[in-house]
Amino acid sequence: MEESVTTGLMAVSVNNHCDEIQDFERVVAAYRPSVFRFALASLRDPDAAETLTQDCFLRAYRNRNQFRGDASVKTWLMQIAVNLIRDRARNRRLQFWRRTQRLAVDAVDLDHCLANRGASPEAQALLNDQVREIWRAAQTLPDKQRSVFLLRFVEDMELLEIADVMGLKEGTIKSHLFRALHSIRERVRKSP
Amino acid sequence: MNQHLSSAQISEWVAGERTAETQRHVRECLACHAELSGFEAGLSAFGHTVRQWAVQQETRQSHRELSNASWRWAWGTAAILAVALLPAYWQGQVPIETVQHEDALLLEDIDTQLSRMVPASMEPLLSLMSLTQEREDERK
Repeated sequence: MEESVTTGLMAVSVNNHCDEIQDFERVVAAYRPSVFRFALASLRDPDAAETLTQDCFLRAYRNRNQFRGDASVKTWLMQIAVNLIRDRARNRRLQFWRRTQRLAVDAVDLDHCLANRGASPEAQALLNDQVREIWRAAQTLPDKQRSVFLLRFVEDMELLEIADVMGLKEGTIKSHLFRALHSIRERVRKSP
Repeated sequence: MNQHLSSAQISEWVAGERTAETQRHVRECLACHAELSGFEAGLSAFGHTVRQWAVQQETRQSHRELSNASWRWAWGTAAILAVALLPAYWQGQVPIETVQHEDALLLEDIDTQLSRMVPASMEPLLSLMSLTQEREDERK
């Protein structure tokens, strides 16, 4: 009985996901900010992030009939975005030049967005330094670790969702996240 | 657990790996609790900052797209106007043969004017004089 109820609920969920993808304009409106944000945090280049976001939705639109509804639309879109970012990262030379070009600019850009969370000026300054250091450290992480880290702390996704997006087991995601956090923490601790 | 949490244990905790022993230690040890809270606050602030940055960049991108679209419209309109007005411009242009013919006529007219014995206003008088002369000749 319980099994049939679970199966029934899963079927309803799959149908809902399949219905959702048919109204593509609504899909774009709902998930565009997430895809752009993840692309921007990964590439650190607004123009490249914009292009990648458009590519992501174009690919999704072309393949919308192949969407089976096993995962949520957001998970499916993030899978496409992760693959596009990985394909892009394969061009190592381009990545190297982009990295050297963008590193200085990013720190300045990000400074405008550092929040004032009502803490004392000293505490706020410490927190902002920590944010800057995390940002720099995230840049040096291996691709998979960086994607897992950004999905967890920028997109606020659960480990299981990240596992679906990355096509990996939850344990592997946990391991990537631990390594990413450890590298970042070491860097933050060593910063003056 | 008497010793403080190691850096690796703190990272494990934030990654979601929490043993009963570390949970107890974090509850009891103020230093480790503060260390963990500080790191988690930094990660939370990082997420917030990146999200803010993305919103800012997205707004900037859409403004740029809007501005590019305005320019595209302006250039498109200019191109359509140019294409539409080109035939009218070409129709207004006088062929070179016509211009040469008109120039020749004008020069001919100037030649005629210059070759006159008297100014045009005196020409009727001249013809009257020549008529009088003819009659006198007939009378003779």
